[in-house]
Amino acid sequence: MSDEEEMPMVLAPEFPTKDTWYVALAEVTQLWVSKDGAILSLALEQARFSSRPENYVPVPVKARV
Amino acid sequence: MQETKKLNSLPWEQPQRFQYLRYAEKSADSIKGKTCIFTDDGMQEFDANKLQLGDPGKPNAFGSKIAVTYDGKALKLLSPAMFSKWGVSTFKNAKGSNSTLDLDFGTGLNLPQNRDFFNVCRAIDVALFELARKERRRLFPALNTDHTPDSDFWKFFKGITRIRDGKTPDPKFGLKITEDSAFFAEKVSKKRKFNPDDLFI
Repeated sequence: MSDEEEMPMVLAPEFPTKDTWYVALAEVTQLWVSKDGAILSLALEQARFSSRPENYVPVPVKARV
Repeated sequence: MQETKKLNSLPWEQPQRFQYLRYAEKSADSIKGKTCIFTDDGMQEFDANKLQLGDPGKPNAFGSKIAVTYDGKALKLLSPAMFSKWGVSTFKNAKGSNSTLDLDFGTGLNLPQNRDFFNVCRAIDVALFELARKERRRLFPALNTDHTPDSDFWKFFKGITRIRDGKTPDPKFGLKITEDSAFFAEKVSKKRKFNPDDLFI
């Protein structure tokens, strides 16, 4: 297989480490309520990840909400 | 001879589960630009009225749990390609260990799909906050809620998104790693110029 071809997905043999891109499917599981307030919990169901490319440069952006 | 079912298999030993994520991504492609969430029936436009909060469970020393559902089902979110600076973090405590994955809202927020996703999460936060605020007596018995103004009540409510300084989003999209969490690696050709859009199929 040449390097130009699209590489097939492979199942992860180990946990991914830092500096990685992810596409994640997450589930909102619960709202945890205590006397200090409430925290919404999300659980990761599935994630696809790819290592960080060398030519990547983070671009600072403003929130648009 | 029938193959013995493998018990307690690791997530990456269950290739069929991967198709679920692929289906979600394909489904997401058709509704770009809308405030949508992922359900068992595919992507649907987000409707705040379908969010529901259950009754608080039996409290322990730390608090109590409230189930969050959407139209009576689990609420699932499919992120676009998001960057993680630190990857999976594991913290050990007396009861065992907790693993989390923090994805970065800030990086790539200039991309339309990332901005859309942030807005979806924001819409869910606002809808849940409004729901919790209306039922504060039922949900927050421990707080002196009758005398808590909405502006302070928001501080007690930690949702998916947070805004710092009134401008920038807190980059943390925090996910808990459970025993059922599955990871899939993708190799990117070194000769191809990387584009985050490639990950959002």
